[in-house]
Amino acid sequence: MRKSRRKNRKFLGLACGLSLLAATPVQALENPITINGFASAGFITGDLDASFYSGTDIIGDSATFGADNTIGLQIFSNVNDKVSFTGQLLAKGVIDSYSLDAHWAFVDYHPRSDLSIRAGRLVLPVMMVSEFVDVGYAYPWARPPMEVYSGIPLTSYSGIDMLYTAHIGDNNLIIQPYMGSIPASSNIGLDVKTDLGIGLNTTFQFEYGFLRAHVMQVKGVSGSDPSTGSGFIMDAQMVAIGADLEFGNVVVISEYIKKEFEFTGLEPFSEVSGEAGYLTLGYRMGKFLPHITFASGDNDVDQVSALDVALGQMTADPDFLAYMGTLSPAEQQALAADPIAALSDPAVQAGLVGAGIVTPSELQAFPSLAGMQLPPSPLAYKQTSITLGLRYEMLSNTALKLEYQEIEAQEESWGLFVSEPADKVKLASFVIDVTF
Amino acid sequence: MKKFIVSIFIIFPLLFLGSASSYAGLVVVVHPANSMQAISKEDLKRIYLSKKKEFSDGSLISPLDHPKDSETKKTFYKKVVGKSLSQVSSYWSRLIFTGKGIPPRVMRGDEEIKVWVAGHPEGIGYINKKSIDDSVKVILTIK
Amino acid sequence: MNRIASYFSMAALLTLASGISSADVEFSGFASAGVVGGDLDVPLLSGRDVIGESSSFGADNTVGVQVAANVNDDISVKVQLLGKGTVDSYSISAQWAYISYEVSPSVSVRMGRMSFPAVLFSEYQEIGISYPWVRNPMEVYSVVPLATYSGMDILYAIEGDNMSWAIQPFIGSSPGVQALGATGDAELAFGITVMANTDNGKLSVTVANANEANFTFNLGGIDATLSMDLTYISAGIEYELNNLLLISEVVKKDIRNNPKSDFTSISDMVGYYLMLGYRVGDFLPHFTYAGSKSDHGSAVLPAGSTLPGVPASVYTTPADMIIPSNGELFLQKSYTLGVRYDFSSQSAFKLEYQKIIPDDESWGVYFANPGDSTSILSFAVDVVF
Repeated sequence: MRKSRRKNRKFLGLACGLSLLAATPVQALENPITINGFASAGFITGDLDASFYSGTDIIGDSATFGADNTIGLQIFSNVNDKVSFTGQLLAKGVIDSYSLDAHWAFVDYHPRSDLSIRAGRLVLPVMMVSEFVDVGYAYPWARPPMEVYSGIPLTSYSGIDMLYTAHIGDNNLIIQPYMGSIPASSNIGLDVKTDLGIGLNTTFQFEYGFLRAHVMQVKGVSGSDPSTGSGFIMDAQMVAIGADLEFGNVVVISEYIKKEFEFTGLEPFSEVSGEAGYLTLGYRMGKFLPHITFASGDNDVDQVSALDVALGQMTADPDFLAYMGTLSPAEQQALAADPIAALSDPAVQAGLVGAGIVTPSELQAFPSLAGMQLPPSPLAYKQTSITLGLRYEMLSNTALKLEYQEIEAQEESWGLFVSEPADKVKLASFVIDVTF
Repeated sequence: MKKFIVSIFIIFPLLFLGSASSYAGLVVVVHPANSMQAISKEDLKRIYLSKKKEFSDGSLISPLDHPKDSETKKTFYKKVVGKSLSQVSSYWSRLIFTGKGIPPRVMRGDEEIKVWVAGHPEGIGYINKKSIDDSVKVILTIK
Repeated sequence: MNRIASYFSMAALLTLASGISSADVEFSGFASAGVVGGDLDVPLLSGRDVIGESSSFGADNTVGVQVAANVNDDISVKVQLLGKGTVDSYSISAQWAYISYEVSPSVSVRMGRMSFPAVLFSEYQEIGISYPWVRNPMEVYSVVPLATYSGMDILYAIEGDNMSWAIQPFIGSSPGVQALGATGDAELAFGITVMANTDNGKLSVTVANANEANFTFNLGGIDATLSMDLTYISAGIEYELNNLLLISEVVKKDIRNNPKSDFTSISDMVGYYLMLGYRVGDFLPHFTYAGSKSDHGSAVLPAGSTLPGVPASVYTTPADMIIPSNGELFLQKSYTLGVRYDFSSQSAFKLEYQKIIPDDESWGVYFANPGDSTSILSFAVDVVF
């Protein structure tokens, strides 16, 4: 009963909030509110035997339709000459099944035309397309190259950034330093948060397009998998450069990133370092833009078995030490010498479950963890891919995209796949992107 | 005779453009009191891509645009910016959805642009040559 | 925190919906609020929502905002943002999000996320003002756990002299649905709806399939999957003659179990209802008789038996175990007496009394044994703006 009242109060609160907002004289300014939006819909087909990571999404093996479905609504409002508000609501078809999220929500203070200071919820400009990665209409591919855009489990942050534009002749240099933290959020199936991150993004705009360079350092990124309870804490450093150029009808887009993740609390596994890059070449023919992309991601990691991690977590539990205390010395020794064998003993199982240290389903999973290497995708992967694509400007603000992709996991890695993929995975995608 | 040859030189290429009947040239207009007497095509391009936001005296520029899919807009962007309208809207989608820019204000056509520019010293717009009148000042003719 | 931000955004959107609309983006909205009372000691399934004792106030609370935006002359985007008081406690999601392409005046192609059109009011299930009851009859609307799917459809309209036809084939998939306390997905959803419209009403027939619909349940710490191919065949009629209003639907659910299923589902069933109403000015008193039937006759596992694939240790009292869970197979009938009062063109009050009588061998839509019969009294206010 109490619960329902609370719910009801929440509802009333919403209603009051509404009436307050409705009473605000938003109409006073000229052109007070602008609404824009973007949407994508599509389907994927091919050898999708395993789910895979693409950017900050997981594309499921059953996501024939819906993987690229996205809707964004943006509200822009001028508070006065120097202050404006921008909010962007985003809902996506992958994983979180269309729950609505405030992707951007910031106040922009712009005392001069070349300076803008923004505070609120912002999006990290890790890579060239990161800030508008959900706006499919803004780039040629169905999805940005996954080797470069995956493995960075950070998107929106709460903080402040500055955009300063220096005019150099007819060219512009845009300097964008930022700092902030990531409040608890969900990303690639993990619950992620960070303490503090700082970064600097610089973009040089000139006749043929633009060049950019970005550095970022984040401390205390903690991630945990809500389904298994396993987690990690890491510091991350990234350096990226990129170019987006047009020479007549020729389009050249290329990016490179070097990243380092240092983990703590996940012994003996401590570091992932990797690099990734891609080159896209395209040629504009009226409303068509055929393009080809070569992409590669190569991450090195101290190998560690998932079983070691799971056992490590179990033995670190204070309840486990208490439970050990109840065992005979021989039993303790057996458990330490061959945990898997000991764990298959029904008496030990009952004891562990009884003490609330593990659940029956976790117990069941232990033997299967032995063969698995940690960390799995998306942080560590070795993969290359070739993508052939065609973008067609069907109508104004409407683009159709058709893409064929061959993905090859390298060496022992599963690439960006969640389970072991075939030698060469072939995918075809169709996407329609619009803006309004 | 000379006049006739000149006319042929003018009309013939226009026929090739296919939109000869409607296209008689565009002009760029500002408020009559604006101190600017002329503008380069390069500066105009930068204004319409939001890369240049101030006049030389430091005051803010308010560029005006035609509705999407209008022939006038298509011609302007092809001739001044060198991009198709879909390339332009793709360019703007990157700025709009990252909160980094607002595209030019969209007006219904020549008449509305003239009225707005005549009332706003910061305004700049492009209209068809045939719509020119005293309420605005022409600073560039686009051929 | 995030949720608060979402609320704020939703509030801002609602504000917009109430006044401002630009040439290219239009807003509209709907909301319902209600109170439920009566025999609610045992939670029950109504449509896709669970109503329990603790939801006497939030059960029917719904807020929605619809956004329609024109991309160009032929293409538009439609979004329905929805926050509900039941189950997921007001988390806001995009119930619909699709891109629509008008190929010709009579043909549209839509792609994105849309409602799964298995029954007559599928598309309007959250918009209370579009139907006479507080809730759509549960015997029909609880049979379809999929609310939406991702995919594409074609809307083909044929205009006749006295009658118009709408034909709507669809195909898609439905990853990651939360339904019936389990996570579900359907690898392939497809079907067709054919609808005939006249001045007095409409008649609609649908065949809808959800192939490889998988629901994973957690039973005593062990995940067990129910995997099946579902076919829904439904027919519905809405007919109005002078002051008399008739609405009736029947839906048949056929199940084919997949080999990879841990359970064997026997939940083939038929649900139906007939509603008669009579308009008296702005009042619409109505009566509904509804029922659900199955060839299997019993929804309760005989004492001492177990389900295939499920370890015996999972059961506490096997006789209480429903196959495979409530909401899959429920056998009951119900009588609903209600009145709807339209106090303006955009708002309605509804008052309803409902008597639910589960069959002897079933708990009906309840999650535990509710006894011989139950009575529920509901009151709701629905608005659109």
